[in-house]
Amino acid sequence: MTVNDMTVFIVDDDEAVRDSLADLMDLINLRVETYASALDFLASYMAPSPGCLVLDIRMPGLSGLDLQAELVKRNVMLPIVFITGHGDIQMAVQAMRAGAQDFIQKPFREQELLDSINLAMETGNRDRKALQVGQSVKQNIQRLTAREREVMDMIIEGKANKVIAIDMGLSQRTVEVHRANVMHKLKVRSLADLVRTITRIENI
Amino acid sequence: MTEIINEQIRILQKNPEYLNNILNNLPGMVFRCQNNRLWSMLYISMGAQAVTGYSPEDLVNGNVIDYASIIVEDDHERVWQEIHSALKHHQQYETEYRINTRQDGQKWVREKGCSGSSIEGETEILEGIIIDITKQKYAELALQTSKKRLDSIVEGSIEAILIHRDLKALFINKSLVDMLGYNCADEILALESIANLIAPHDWNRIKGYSIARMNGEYAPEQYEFEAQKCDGEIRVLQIESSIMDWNGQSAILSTLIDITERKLAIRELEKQRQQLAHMDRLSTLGEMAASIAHEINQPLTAISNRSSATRRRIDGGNPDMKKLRIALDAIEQQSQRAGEIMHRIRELAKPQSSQQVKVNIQTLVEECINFAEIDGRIRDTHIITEITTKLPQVIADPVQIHQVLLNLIRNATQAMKYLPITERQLTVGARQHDDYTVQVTVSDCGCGIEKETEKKLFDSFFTTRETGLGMGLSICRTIVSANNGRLWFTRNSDKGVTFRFTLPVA
Repeated sequence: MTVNDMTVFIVDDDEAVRDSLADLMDLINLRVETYASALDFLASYMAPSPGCLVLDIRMPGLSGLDLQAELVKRNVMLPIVFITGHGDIQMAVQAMRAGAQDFIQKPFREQELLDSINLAMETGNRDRKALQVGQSVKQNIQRLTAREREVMDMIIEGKANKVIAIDMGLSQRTVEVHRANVMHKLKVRSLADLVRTITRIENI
Repeated sequence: MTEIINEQIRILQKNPEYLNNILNNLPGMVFRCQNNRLWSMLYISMGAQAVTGYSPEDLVNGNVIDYASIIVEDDHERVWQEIHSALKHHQQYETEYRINTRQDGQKWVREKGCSGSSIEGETEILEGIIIDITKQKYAELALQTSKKRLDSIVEGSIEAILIHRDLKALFINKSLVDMLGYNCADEILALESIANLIAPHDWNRIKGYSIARMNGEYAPEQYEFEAQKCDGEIRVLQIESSIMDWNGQSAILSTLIDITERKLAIRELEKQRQQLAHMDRLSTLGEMAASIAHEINQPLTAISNRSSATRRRIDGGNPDMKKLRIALDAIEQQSQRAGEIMHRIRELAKPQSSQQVKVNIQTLVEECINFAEIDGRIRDTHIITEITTKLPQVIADPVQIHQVLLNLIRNATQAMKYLPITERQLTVGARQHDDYTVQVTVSDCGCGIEKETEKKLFDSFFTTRETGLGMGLSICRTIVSANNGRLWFTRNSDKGVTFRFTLPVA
């Protein structure tokens, strides 16, 4: 997924700010969509449109923090860069805790915003990829038989084939076959690989 | 001539009753007496009866009573002295004294006489005339008492009194002497002109009034001016002047009061009122600080972004000129925007503001709402304006009225803070109240004002807010009064209250 497929969504009630930001995005060839309010954005956004959200906090109606909460509720994975005309520490902490990418005060150096947007989009990319990988791993695990599943669990615990055979009342040869199937189905080449893969999906 | 007189004298000598007739017409009597303490009368005319109650026969040679006994004892010595000091200089004497009449109480008489010619063997003679002057004397005394009374009133008056003509002082009372720090009235009367009593910068105006008044032209009856004391100190005096008759000629009568202290107190009060109003404006600005910061950061952000974009385009080589122009236009626009906000803030933050000028209410209301909406909460409120078209201009201080309107809008928003956003509605209206005034209204649909709170509403330091000094409405009231208007409120028939204030039409 290249940056060109991603959109920067700008939500700010001030027209001058919106337009000037749109112009900047246009300049560096980023696709951009602007919205005057959080509600307008929610009405138009179709997940999972990738990119990032540049969001003001103080807006009439739904505030920026309210929008962030709503997106979390809807499980929308869109990194948020907050830009605010007047922020305090409390606001910033709340925003970051809820998972914001960054919190920038107006007026800002445009480079600062652009760097933040880039980072946000990369992070977004990475997270999306990790999610995809995780999902495919989960799918693969579904394809394991019950026996293969059991064997996998014990392999991860660090048990030797011999021990697994005894524990499961199988021949060592059978265990070796199950092990090979697990490695094949999960598309991993080594024990370390296997452990890493399984650990990763547990974190998602 | 002498012939006629001599002829008449011969007639009178032949007919003594003719002489008696003449003598009886005197409002008194003629006499010849011995120059002694008894006033021994040798001859006294018939008039004695009417004047003293004693007949000539009673008095001559003290038959019934000595003339001296009729004279009131207290006056005796004085009269004797007056007579004899005149006689010593061979002059006619004139003296006034009281007598006790037989039946009519006390009377006043005037005696005029001189040494008489005595025939051989007689002691020194006095001859003269005694006239009843009782009526005149009482009138004289009454006049004197009345004058004394008047004098004490004039002298004792705390109002300073000055009578002048042709710019010269004719009469001053003690209060004026004291007021101007002189030692006595004479010092002021001796001055060449009343110009010395007036502060130099005010002299021309006062001179103008005096001259106009004496000429019967218009001059104000009451006015204030700055006077100069003996030591040069300047005092502010209130003066009331009119034309009066003084010794047969016109003169100006002026009464004066020293109002220096009063003026200082008024000035001090006005200064304090200004300070309070200023404090209230600063307080409002303080409450709006966060919103203001946010509001200014918006145009700054836009300017910053546009500038960066422009620079990038230029750095990138062969920039799109149209886009550069758009960016520059935006920069200019946003700078103005920020400038206007700062301008409004500076106006509100200024300590002094007291300029009554012609104000267009429509413009003022719009500007005020624009500024008020910097506060997000007010932006969340639905504001409607109902201003009649072709509203006449009013005379007011625009910054002060702005302050009042801002206060009322903020209060109204506060009153609706617990309503859901969709129900928050505020109406600012203006219409002609009558021929001379315009009425501005701020209506909300909030929680209203309770009966108990109503009485204290315009008190200083009364507030139902968690923050804020509570000066708002009391200041608003004094401001509106100072702008010649009234501030009050009415309850709406459905929900909420309407605050109303009037301003004079220009």
